Order: sequence, then structure tokens, then C-alpha cells
Amino acid sequence: MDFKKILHEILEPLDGALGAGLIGMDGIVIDQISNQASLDMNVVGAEYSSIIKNAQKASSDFGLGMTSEILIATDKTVIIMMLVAKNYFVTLALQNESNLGRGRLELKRAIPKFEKDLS
Amino acid sequence: MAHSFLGELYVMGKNFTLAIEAYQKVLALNPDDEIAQTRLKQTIEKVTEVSPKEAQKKANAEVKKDEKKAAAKISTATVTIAELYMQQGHFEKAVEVFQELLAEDPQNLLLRQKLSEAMETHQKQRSLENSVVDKLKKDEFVRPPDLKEDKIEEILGVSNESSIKATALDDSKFTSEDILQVMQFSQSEVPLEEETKTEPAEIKKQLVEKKHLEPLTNVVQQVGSSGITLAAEPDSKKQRSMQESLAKLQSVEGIVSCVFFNPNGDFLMTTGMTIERNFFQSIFHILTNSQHAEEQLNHGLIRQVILKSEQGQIFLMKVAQYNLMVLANEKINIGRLRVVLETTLNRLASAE
Repeated sequence: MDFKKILHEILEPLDGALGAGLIGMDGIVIDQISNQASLDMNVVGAEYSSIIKNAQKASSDFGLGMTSEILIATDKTVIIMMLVAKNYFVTLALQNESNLGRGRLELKRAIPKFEKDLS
Repeated sequence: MAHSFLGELYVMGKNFTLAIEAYQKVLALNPDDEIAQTRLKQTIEKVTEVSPKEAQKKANAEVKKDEKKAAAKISTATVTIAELYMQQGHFEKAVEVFQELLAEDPQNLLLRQKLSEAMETHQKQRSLENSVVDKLKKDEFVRPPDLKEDKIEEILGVSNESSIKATALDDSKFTSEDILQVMQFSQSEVPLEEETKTEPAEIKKQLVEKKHLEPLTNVVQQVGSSGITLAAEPDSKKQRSMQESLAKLQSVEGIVSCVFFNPNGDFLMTTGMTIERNFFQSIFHILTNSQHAEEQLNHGLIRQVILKSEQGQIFLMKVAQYNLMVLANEKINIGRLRVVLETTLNRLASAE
């Protein structure tokens, strides 16, 4: 289960990638890579897991089914979270000027690899 | 002896089949054993006494199974069936199916939207048919050159020779294409304003009556044909601008509803479907939690949050000091939405 290798594969082709991590729905970080000291994946895990839970509830309330992806854009960064095997999510932090489309593509490519290792 | 005792135990445990076997074994060993003969006879009698009850139980179970199967057959209402009805032009049936589905899942906004679409299309179809009939009766209709007079009469169910100028006749029967032809020719003649003036309010009224749409408690004004629901009278240029922005956003295909709410989560105005307060409160929590997370990470202020789900997307964004939520289904045109959002943001910024 070399999650770090998969995380490297996500970050490698992206300019301005700040970090990536595989996190459980309970907020515990399974593996992470951070290119920026200020990006603490433990904080990411703890904070974003509750956002994902809220999103799942909202999505279900609105009759939209299961939430598969969350994107948060701020003044400085863009955070993308994608669901992996229902109980985990992979997150990618990018600088605002990074290629968001490429970032999403790399995450989508990585999901089956994570799922294979997690099953 | 052991088999005889075993037989008695089985009888006590009401396991009559095994008891009979046990007594038969006793009799196989000792055919003259009178006690075993008597016990076997009594056990067989008990079995015949119990059997009708068991048979009744089984029959009841079978009936229940059949009922379940029948219920499953009756409840065939699915979104696919409703959409098929829509495609085939059976809008009334589609409305019925959507209503049935909504009765099971009244909070499902996508179903509400589909129901609203079906009702809208159904009403349009009816008003179109009525206008065609009216025009034909008034002799205002410009008949397609290849549509036969007798066919029009049959379509209308009238035989008013003076109202329709005769062309060449033949005995062939009219088809659905002929009806469509009549409708298409007259479509351009129907004033569109007449159709759309009252419809959104009417649809909303019907939905509220059927409890598919919960009116917001703090609504003070509903703006007629624009379908915008306000929490308060627009008291500033900015609020009027927000109102216009909502109307523009609603024109993007795939948008189910747009809601402006205050930084404290209070509803300001909405278009499309009105949304229950506790629904956008949960959305408000996502925004506040996201803001908290980004503050912890020193990422600055939240600009936008997008939730992508199986059957739609929710867009949340800060617009000046307000929050805007856009609820979209799977048909949403993201490119168009972005363009409209940009103009919306610019418009609101200039109204500051």
C-alpha cells in the first residue's frame, strides 16, 4: 500500500501544487505530501472531514444523491476533495494560479489506484 | 423402548413427523406393541388436526406474498417512467408519476423541479390546443396547404363547413402528425406573454396545495411572473439588482433554484423553487465550516464552494456581504453559469 507514491503521481505534473493527502472520514490522515510548511494535513483532515459530512447531508437533503467532489476556492488557494471508497477522501491543495482542470484530472486518475489498495 | 420414549418426546415438542417415524421404528421391531400402535394412531390424528391450521397459515403467507408482488407491480412510478411519458407527450401521466414519487420523497427538490416542468409543459400543451381550437372556430387559422379539411373537422370534432375553406378532399384518416402540424402552424400565432403571465404562480400554487412546496415563513412578497420570492420589500438599488441577477441566473439551463441569504444565514430572496429554511441553514454551515478551515490554514477568505453530487451540484459563493446558493441538476451548463455569474457579480459590485 504505497499511498505516498500515488500522492507523488498526483503532485508531479502540477505547477503550484501545495500538497495532497489521503484522509479518512474520521479526519485522520492516512498519508500526505506537503510542499508548503504551512499546509498542515492534520488540520486539513480534521477540518475538511466535517465539511464533507455536512456536504453529504446537504446533498442528501436536496435529493442530489452522494457527494463525490468538493471544491473550495479562497483568496489564495483552491482545495479539491474527492471521495475514495466511501470512507476516505483524497485532497489536493493548489495555488490559485495553478491548472485546476489538470488537478481534478490527476485526482480522478488516482482514485482507482487508491481504491485498489484500500479494498 | 428408546424409540417409544423418543416418540413421546417428539410429540411433546409437537414434532409429529419425527414422532411418527419413532413409533414406526418401534412397530418395525415389535409389530404387536399395542402402546406404540395407539400412540402412532393418536399422533397421526394430531397431525391431521394441525394440518388445516398450517395449511391456512401457508395460504395466508402465499396471499401476503401475492399482495406484495401486486403492490410492487402497482407501484411502478419511477423517474424513468415519468420521463418516458414526457418524451411521448403524455404530460398528464408524467405529472401523476412525479406526484406519486414526491409523495414518497417530498423533500426531493429535483423531483419538484421535474414535476414543475411537467406541469408547465402540460399547461402549455393545453393552452396551445385550446388556442388552435379557438382560432379554427373563429376562422383565424392559416391552414397548412397539405392539411385536409375533413381531417381538421375530425381533429376538432366539429363540422362547420363555413369556417373552413375547402381544398381537395380524400378519405384517408388523420394522423398524429396532422395534429402536430396544426399546432405548429398556430404556435407562432399564440401570444407568448399570455402563456407565461400566470403560469409560475399557478404552478407554485398547485405545488403548495399538494404540499410539495413548503412556503417560507418569512416571505412577505412573491413577485408574479418572475417567480422570485422575497423576504422583504426591495429597499435599495442593490436589492433590486440582486433580484435582477436571480432572474438572469434562473435562465441558465439546469438551475433548479437560487437563493440569496445573509451572512447570518437568514433568507433574503429566492427564485425557482422556494427552499425550506433548515435546508439552506445546512448549506450555511458548510460555508462557515469552510471559512473556519481556511482561516486555520491561512488561505484567506472563501470565494466559492462547489459540491458535486451524483444528480446535481450546489454552488455557494460570496456576493458582496451576501451568500448566494445555486442549486443545479445534472443538465447544468457550467460555462454559461460562469458567464452569468461573472456579470451578476459585476452588476452587484457596481450597485455597492
